[in-house]
Amino acid sequence: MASNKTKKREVAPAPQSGEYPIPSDMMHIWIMAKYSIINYFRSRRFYIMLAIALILGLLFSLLLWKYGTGTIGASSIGLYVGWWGSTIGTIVVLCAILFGGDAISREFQNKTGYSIIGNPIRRAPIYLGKLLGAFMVSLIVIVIYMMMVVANSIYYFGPSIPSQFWESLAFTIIYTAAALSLTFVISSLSKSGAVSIAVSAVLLLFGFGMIGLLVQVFGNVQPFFLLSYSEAILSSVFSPVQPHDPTVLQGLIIMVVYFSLCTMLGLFVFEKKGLD
Amino acid sequence: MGHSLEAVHLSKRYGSLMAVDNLNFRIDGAKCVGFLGPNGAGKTTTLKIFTSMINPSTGSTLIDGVSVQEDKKAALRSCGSLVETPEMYHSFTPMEALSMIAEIRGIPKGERVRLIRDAVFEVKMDQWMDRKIGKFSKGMKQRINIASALLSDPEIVILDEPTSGLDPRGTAEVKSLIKTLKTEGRLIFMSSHLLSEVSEVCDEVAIIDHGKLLVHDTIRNVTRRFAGKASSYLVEVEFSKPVTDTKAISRLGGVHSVNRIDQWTVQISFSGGMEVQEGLLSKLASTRMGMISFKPVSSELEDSYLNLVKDTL
Ligand SMILES: Nc1ncnc2c1ncn2[C@@H]1O[C@H](COP(=O)(O)OP(=O)(O)OP(=O)(O)O)[C@@H](O)[C@H]1O
Ligand SMILES: [Mg+2]
Repeated sequence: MASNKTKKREVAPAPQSGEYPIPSDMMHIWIMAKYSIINYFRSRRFYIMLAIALILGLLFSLLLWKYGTGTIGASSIGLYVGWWGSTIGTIVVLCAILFGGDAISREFQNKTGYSIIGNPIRRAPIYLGKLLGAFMVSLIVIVIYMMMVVANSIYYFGPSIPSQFWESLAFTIIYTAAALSLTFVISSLSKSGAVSIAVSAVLLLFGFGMIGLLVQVFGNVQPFFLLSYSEAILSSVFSPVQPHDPTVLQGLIIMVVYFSLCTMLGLFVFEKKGLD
Repeated sequence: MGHSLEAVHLSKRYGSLMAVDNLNFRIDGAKCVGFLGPNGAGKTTTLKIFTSMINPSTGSTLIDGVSVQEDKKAALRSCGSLVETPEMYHSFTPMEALSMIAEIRGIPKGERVRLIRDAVFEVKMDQWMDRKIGKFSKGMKQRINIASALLSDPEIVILDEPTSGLDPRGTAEVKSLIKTLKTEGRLIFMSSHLLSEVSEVCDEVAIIDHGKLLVHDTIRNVTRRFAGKASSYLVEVEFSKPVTDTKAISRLGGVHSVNRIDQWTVQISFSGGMEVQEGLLSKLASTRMGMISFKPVSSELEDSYLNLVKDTL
């Protein structure tokens, strides 16, 4: 009995104060994501983004209802190309700017980073958790937008949804991850939220497009190095005439390369960055 | 097992400025160590390196023997800190902000709410538990920051000017909170400009200037070595009756001069350290002059500090 007692004490020592088992890095990513999502839900810009998606969706619904489906195609494919395909890229880019453009810089500017970083959590899970949070919030906006498109398609063309749409949706999700990882790295390079969000906006809304145009016109080469170049696959996947520039594979490679490089660079910068 | 904080050849360079310059010290046991030095001496920089907010240029910091730079998670595991004035997410309530910290620190779900309530109660913010932090005053935010530092009941506590921004009651409360922490066997490392606060709650002091350590010892040893060799002390003494005979006071041992401040109050300048101060106090008390208060205007710690730190900036 006595030996049993001592053994028990060894196995389960009295919990020492302040000695909690620190969660794993994966758990830390999830915790950071969860609380950053709560923070997004309290932010004005989440509702601005939601309003943009809703207004755009309602506008298209209204036009379809008023002028008939002839305007953007007489088939469900036409509706997906004309509506979803022509707008979803912009929705993604706006999400990336609004949710990622100052995600890291704001932590430094507002000193909110101080209250987290002094705790037993590595920097990488903080960064990745915030990235995951922004990604999930963007997906909420995208899914709501998607539901409006699909509802119209079902209303006019019946319940069958073309398989290309699911492909386009999958590419959209990858594109979202790539665009967010780009705005995150921009936001990790600056300590001013306004600067990083402005740089993100200029780059994603005009900069890439302009550079791409110049390269195509004067250099006569396809701008494979631009993330925006890959955006075309979100809509070109609906079109039966292949190949396109870029092909689906090329587009996907651009997205994946952007995501990987930006995330690695962002993690590196964030790791080295001092809070001062 | 005792806890320890250690700086090993620690330096932080900002351009040509050495904010921290080859700092070496080790503090351990259950005590409170005051971290003193003039503005810009490198206190905050040192504490930021200890809590991994910034990386050192060279050297390292160890908590319980674990390098913060190599294994932050393990090193900060039993360390709570408040450095500079962090902000919590403004859209969060104290309950939410502290839940996040609690989850990060691995406090099990079942204990979370109780610990948060305890910590918030401790800093007297329990009535504000469900209000948005963004609307709080500076001192209210600082109270929540203190609650956050103490949330997981850490064995080691690092505080950078913990009472800055607090009202007199808040300051007094935090002071007594720190004293309580000390009696519970924790190791506290705290920077402060309030020498009265430090001499009241701390056992040891480390004084730095220009990023270099000037001295690290018990307060008693520091004052013994550096206080008032040539200089004199000042005490302010108040009486219930108007003071008529200042000559009588100036005849007491060690007294240099007596200055009348008003009818009832005099400032006495004397030299000779603690023994003389003790004698002066007992002699004044035994006269029939009606002494009601005896307040050192300059303290031995202050004196030592002023002797050690010759210039600011
Ligand atoms: N990010 C930074 N860039 C450049 N110099 C810095 C930076 N942070 C601190 N310093 C410099 O490092 C030195 C030490 O600063 P620190 O904040 O550690 O001083 P301190 O002892 O905490 O002073 P105080 O008592 O005023 O809080 C100062 O000269 C300061 O100007
Ligand atoms: Mg400071």
